[in-house]
Amino acid sequence: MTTIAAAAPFKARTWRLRLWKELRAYPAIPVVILAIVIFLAIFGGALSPHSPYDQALRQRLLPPVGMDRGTWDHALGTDNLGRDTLSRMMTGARVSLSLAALTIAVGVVLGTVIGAAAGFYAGRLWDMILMRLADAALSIPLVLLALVLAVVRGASYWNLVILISLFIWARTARIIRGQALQVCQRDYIALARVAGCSGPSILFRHVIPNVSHVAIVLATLEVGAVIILEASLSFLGVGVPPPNPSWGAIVADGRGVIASAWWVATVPGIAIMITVASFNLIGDRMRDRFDPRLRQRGA
Amino acid sequence: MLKFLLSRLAQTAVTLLIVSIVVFALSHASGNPLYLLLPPSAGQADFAAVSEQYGLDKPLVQQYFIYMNKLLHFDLGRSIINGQPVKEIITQALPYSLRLAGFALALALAMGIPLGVLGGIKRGTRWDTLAQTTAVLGQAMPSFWLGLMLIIVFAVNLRVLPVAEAGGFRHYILPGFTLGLILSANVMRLLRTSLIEVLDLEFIRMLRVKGVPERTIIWKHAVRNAIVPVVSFAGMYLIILVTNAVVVETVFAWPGFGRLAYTAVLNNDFPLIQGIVLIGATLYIASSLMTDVLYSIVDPRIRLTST
Repeated sequence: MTTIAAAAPFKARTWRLRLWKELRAYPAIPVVILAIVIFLAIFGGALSPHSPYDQALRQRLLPPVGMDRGTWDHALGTDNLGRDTLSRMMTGARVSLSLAALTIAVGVVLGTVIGAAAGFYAGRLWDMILMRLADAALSIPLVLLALVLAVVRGASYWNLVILISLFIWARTARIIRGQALQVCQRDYIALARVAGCSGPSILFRHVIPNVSHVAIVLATLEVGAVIILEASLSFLGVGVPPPNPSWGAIVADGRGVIASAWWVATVPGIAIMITVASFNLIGDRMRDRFDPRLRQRGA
Repeated sequence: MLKFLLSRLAQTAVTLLIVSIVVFALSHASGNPLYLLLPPSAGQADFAAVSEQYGLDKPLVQQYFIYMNKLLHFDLGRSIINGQPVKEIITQALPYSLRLAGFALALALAMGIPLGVLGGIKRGTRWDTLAQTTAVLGQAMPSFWLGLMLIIVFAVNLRVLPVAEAGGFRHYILPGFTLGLILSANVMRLLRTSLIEVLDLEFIRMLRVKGVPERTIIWKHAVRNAIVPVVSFAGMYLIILVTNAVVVETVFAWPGFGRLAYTAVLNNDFPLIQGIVLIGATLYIASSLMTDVLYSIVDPRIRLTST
């Protein structure tokens, strides 16, 4: 009993040490930025200084602090309707990040299972059908599809989730299929067959776990692209519908007033750029650590 | 080679078929497309008449075959807004987009290749940092935002460049740069990594031993080999171009394919959107087939590994 009690704090310390070591392997500034952005995405709604929706027409188009008329009360200025930009961006972080997390979770899991199955049953009819479906999904320009969907079904958060994940599964499936082809050449797969494992059981217990590290890297590399995609669609007015403050939508609000109030469009764009750059830098480092050869596949 | 070509062609045909089904299904996804076609004030009789005119009273499968038949005869229907044939509207807009895309591509290569080579040969120096930073920012910047920033600086404040509509060469600069920067980031990153790999190879060392001038080694031997993976991603550049064209053309009011798509959506012009998606997908599939074939001529190993 005493030995267990003594071992516990030591174990906790190694756990923390390992997390620290793991984090140290990544560039520090992006890690800090992402920690802040993710914190804001979770708690931003509660912490924001003003309501992101309340309009105050007497305070429209206030500039950020540091400029003439700028105040700390509206540190990043206000938009055309007098809404506080900082509050809208803090709330918008949740919209943009949750959408990215959801679409990537759905898309990458689906793509991994399908890609691994296609690689495992390579050359059979299923492989053919799944890969042609992936080709078709990738060959329809996503933005155009989003425009069509917005007309026939109306723009909504969930339509966007479905649409983007349909695109991500195809990209993931193609790369995972190649990876699964290599895994299936290994001895342990042949041994599992000899041992009498069924096809699905080999697929789920041996193939998929051995391609999952690639899936994790792909997921990280995809985040930046999805954030930009969502922002672009919201900018075009076919993304997350107003008054929800997605980052792209905030830039779009500033478009009409760029001649008189350039900051409305500028500030949220910088937030998008910094966040996406951080995700990309961490994703690159992850790829180099887990599987440098992925680079040649354009991942 | 013939076998490869035939199988690629067959694959393309299947993909096109799936695309046509998706677009057809989407047009029926909203329930009755007549609600999009007709004004809210339309009565029962109008519905019946238009329904017959568009063949919407027939069973779905039959409708699909009628639709395919029209497609194969290049009949894309007429715009709801002004009754102009969709085919005509698209063929008017397409050249603008192609010219802009061509300009952007040229700009992307002109920026991406030197920066990529610089980053590759001067790895770890300030030049490399500069190239890398450009690439990271280029990939992280949303194109619509970059476009707006350029408008603020060059059109609103400095008043040196025009922003709206197509025109002479000066009109191409801002939208072309916006589109090109994102692409150049990709070109640069790919070229840098592949150049670093090539420079480590045996034959480069051999050339150095032989006393070939460094400049010749880099431009004539290393870059030529390193550029192959860049070429192989031509398909990806196309996706980036098309995706961003819609946004950039909207920001700069460029009268091309992308803005056409945007305005068609604003007007709920369903036949036009349908045509745009079909043509967009077909162009994309056709050009990816072309790059595959060209690439397999350049590098015969591809034929063996492709599925």
